[in-house]
Amino acid sequence: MKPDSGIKKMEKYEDLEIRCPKLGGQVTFNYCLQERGDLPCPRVITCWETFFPVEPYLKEKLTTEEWGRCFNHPSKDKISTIFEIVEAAKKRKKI
Amino acid sequence: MKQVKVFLDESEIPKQWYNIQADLPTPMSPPLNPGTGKPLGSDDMAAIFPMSLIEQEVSTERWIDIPEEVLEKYLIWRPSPLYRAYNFEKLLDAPVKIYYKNEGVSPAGSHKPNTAVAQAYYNKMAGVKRISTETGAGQWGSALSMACQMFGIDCRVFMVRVSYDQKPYRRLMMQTWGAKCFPSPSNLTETGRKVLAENPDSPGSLGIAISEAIEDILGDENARYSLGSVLNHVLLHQTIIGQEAQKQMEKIGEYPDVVIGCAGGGSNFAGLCLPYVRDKIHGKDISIIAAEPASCPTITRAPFAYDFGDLSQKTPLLPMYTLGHDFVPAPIHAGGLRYHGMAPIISHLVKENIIEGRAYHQLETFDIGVKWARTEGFIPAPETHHAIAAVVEEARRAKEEGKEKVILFNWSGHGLVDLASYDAYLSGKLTDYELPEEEIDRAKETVGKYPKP
Repeated sequence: MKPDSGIKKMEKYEDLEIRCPKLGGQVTFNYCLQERGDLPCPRVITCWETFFPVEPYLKEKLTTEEWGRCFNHPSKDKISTIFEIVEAAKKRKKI
Repeated sequence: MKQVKVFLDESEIPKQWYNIQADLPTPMSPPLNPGTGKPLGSDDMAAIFPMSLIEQEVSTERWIDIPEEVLEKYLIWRPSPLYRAYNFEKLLDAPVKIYYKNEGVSPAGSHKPNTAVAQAYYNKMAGVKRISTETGAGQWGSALSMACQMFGIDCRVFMVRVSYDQKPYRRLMMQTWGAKCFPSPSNLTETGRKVLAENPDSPGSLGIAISEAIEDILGDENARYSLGSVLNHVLLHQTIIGQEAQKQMEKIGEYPDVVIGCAGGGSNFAGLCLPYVRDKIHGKDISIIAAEPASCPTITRAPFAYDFGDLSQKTPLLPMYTLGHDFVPAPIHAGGLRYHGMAPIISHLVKENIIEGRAYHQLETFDIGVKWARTEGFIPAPETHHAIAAVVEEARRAKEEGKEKVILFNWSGHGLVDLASYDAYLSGKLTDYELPEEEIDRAKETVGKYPKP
């Protein structure tokens, strides 16, 4: 992520809490920002846009390449995700 | 004295699960193997699930017998009582009768054991010695831990670190039932070790936890993976809820005008509603409502739209939405039915206009959940709030229309292990943030720098 977001005012949002539909519990916006390690959760805009302008916030925070990796690809359903993981793990374990 | 609860005798417990796939007006598309692009076959699934569950996953038989051993375990808390919410009705002051199925009476406090017990049983019959799974806040992990203990199977639960740290009580429930619960990312798997090497303080994610659980069982002939939502067989096992409700309503000479469940992964909604979906398909005049959070919609609205327009990924990326309080997202291919976590059966039924999605804001739902606790006594799980919010909306409509309505909903679990969420609400941490005008302007200006779709 870019070192300086340029939207200092918005940093206060990072401690706001929301109920995460994936986890079934409260998480802070800061968690959503790092849900995939160096990338935010792909649902971060959908989940937070009713609370504050999360889209421009992320555009300030993320590089174009990060933005692309995070949002510019088709979403997958959970079953596909699971079987992708299975295939990857099989290869890794040489099964 | 008014009758508050409707019980079934233990001998009246349904002996079969109901499979909606037999009655769907149009068949569902099969899930595809991401590697080959062909429909997933039993060989693909056999690495992680026992064959009996795979057979249920693809079955189109209308009724599937519940094994005696599963029924014996169900009887610990089933049939669950059907309640009439007289006190909440009084609060709403509307011409409605409100009934609810109390799934909070299970040992784990939710509907999840209905499938956990069945899955543990079928794994046991297949000779499986160990099951691994992932869990977010721990509702599924705790249910599976209990079920594995019942059938003498070792259970490993990879719990997303942020929840592991926040939710000690669910973790302790798992440990009490004999499961091993690990914070994910963990050092047990290559996936976990890699994440920790990059970020020792990683809070984890559901994706990492799934990867760890699958990696943990692959290659071990005696181990299998288990999932508590989304899959067809999971929804199948939950249908005992709705079948019991049908018998209980019949006992008191009622039939619902509206059936409501909250929709996360779809399993508790499906549990109550699928038997009524069957009635609707066969001509009953009934509304079936899936309630979900407005802030994180899965079926009432499209997901964020940097996405391909069709499943074959041949169309260009669809336009993204604009920003601001006046923002109205363009509906994208049948209301965003491609959310990762929603059961395909539920998505299919929404697309077929058999069920209706409704979304509610989190503060509204907590307010209603607290009102429920203050009238009916039971403290609902936060996801259950959404179903109660839909009940309130239906009652309001009934009042406005001057129509009497019978409403039935799934009270999917208690909130006694979710009191931290209540604390967040009661202490004001969940307050909706009103955005100052200058920040809206600034935001619009920022977005304006980007190319328009």
